[in-house]
Amino acid sequence: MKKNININLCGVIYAIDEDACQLLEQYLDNIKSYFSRQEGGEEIADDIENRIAELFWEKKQQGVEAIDVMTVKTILKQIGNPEQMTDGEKKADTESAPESDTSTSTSEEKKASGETRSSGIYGKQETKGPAPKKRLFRDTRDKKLGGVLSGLAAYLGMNDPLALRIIYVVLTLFLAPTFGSLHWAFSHIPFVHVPHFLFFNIFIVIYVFAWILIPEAKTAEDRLMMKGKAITPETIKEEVIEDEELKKKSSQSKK
Amino acid sequence: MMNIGYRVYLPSSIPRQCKGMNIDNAKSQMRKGMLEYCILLILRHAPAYATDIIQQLEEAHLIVVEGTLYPLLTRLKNDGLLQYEWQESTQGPPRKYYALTTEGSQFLEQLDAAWNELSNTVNILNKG
Repeated sequence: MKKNININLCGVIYAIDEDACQLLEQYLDNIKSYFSRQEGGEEIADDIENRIAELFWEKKQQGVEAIDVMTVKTILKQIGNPEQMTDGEKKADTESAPESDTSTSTSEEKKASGETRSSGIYGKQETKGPAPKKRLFRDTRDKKLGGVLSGLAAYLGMNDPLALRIIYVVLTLFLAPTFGSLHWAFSHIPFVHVPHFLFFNIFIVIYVFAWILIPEAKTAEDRLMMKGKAITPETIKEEVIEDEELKKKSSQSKK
Repeated sequence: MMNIGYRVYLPSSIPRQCKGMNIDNAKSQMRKGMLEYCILLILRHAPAYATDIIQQLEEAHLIVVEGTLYPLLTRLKNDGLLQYEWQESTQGPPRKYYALTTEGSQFLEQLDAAWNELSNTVNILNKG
């Protein structure tokens, strides 16, 4: 069983499965941003949307009540993704009769050359260009001390570094091997000894070295790599917008 | 430390060099040059919808992804070679009905001449 929603495509309502709708939205967003750089780009995107509406209509006429994800995939494959459009060549389509040999060998050859460029229809998710490279950075936008744990959390794909911070604090206070045992930590009221305890605490030492060695995430590309996202014009745009909004929020909260 | 190695985004029109140029790349280049001419030829016979154009291209053994047409048609329209009118239909959402403009017909005649020149050259070289 799937959730189904109604969408309005060129003035007509269609019942479409939730996952199919997501796929369609992704595709249309990709089309819009791809052609937005061109003159008349908006018109092209509208034409494509129009064509999809036409195909949906046909499905409806054939008695298909709900448009599912397989239907959408087939339709999007038929229309093609932006890279194929500007190439003017049909690739990897086994249904086209006379040209099928040449088109399948093209896609195989592309794989052989080691390109990670995709002929997929998912636009944003399958990336055009290098596979996402993850790199450890310090996230200075979300820092307590040096943004070390925040950066580590981003590298591990965590939204909230809080868990890591709590763990680290517990480690530092109670489990520092330099000064051994839990017993030691609990048995002394650490007023006089606190400075020693903390200064030579192995976890403090590790943190300081991490602070020194791990670079700060300065540019949008850095932040994308920190989070392990692919670097495409779209993701960079998103990142910059997100960053602007965070800056606004933090300057507002300071007031 | 790891080398990041950004890939430079080449426009897709540059043929991909993999194990040397091959026939698919060459064909793709040739087809791209022809496509505009083919579209105008189709419209010379009669005005048509985008889907009609695709179909006629298929019948003429030129297979392209549907989406290829839309950027091209829009460009030709913006260049003044084509015009369209919206046609309502009981068969679905309104569609654009494309036709050649007078400028388009004139341009097409020039393209005819250009094509003859090119094919002439190839013929000569094939025989010689």
